[in-house]
Amino acid sequence: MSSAPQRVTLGAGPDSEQEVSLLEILDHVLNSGVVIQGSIVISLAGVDLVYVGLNVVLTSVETALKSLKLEEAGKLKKVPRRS
Amino acid sequence: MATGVNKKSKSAGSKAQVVALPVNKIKPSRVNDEALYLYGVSPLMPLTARPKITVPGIDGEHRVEAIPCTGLLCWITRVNASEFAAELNRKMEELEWLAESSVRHQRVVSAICAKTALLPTRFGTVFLSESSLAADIDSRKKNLFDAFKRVADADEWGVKVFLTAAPKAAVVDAKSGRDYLEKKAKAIAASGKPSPDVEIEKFSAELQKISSDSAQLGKVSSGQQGLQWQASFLLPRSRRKQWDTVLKKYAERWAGSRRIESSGPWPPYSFVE
Repeated sequence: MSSAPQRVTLGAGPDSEQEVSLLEILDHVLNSGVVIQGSIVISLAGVDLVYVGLNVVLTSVETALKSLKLEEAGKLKKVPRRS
Repeated sequence: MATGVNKKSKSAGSKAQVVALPVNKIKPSRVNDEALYLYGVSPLMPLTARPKITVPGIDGEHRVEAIPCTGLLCWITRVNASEFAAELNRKMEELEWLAESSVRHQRVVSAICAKTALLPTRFGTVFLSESSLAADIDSRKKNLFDAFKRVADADEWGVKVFLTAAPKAAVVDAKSGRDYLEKKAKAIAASGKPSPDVEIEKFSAELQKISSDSAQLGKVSSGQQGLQWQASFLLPRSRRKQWDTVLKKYAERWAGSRRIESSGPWPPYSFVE
């Protein structure tokens, strides 16, 4: 089994397989998983912002994915963060 | 939306909360700015059998470790406490940070899932010490073991259906505005509107038949153009072929009107609660 999920598109030209998008990652990762009660527990109220600010997410996602790719290629030690 | 609740917290509002530890537990004299970011829990296995996870942790700097914890194995990264504890609430609202961190979280969780059974914990689960982590895991052990049974040898798959063809505008030859509207209404009624719901229901039912569970997919992408329907499924790995057959069948049947996007295998994020 491969570890990275892929997206397959069917019914629009030849079937194609691509890397999943950030959108899909957010769909699956956020607001799911076992709720373990830590010393600190974060409820995902902040996630509501994602719905509102979808365009912002998409833009920042591209930036994030680019830096992650660079990082993987060993070109960057650490993802530079705008603060 | 579920809200994290801490027994020590008196105020449980709807806003994200960071609950501070009692002051007497904070020891400023000791240099301890470490917090434990938890990805999920696996069945305990001997040291030699534990998979090595080589992808970077949630902060992009520290490694992923497996620590035994009251009969289970907890997958964690030792992170900076100020970023992941005191500041986590604020950080969650920084979309760029949220995007990067959720991608890293997903990569780690998928890497672990590829090698062993895992119950992924909710994004943003942070502990201040190994003892608080152990105490919490211990208190919910039974539920965790039950959840392992539910998701054993299965993966999560996301399915989306998009409408690709816009309904054709009826050509209407009209004498007046009123006439136009009347004719158009008739033309639309006569064109035998596709009944997407019936088609989608059949598709969904077939997918449900071969999967062991289904759930609503997240809302993040609900604004995608043309998106007609989406859901997540928990699919036993042995049924991958049947799954692909159903997707293919509907893709052919809907050619020209809808397209299907299927993503996976995902860790069972939506099926462990």
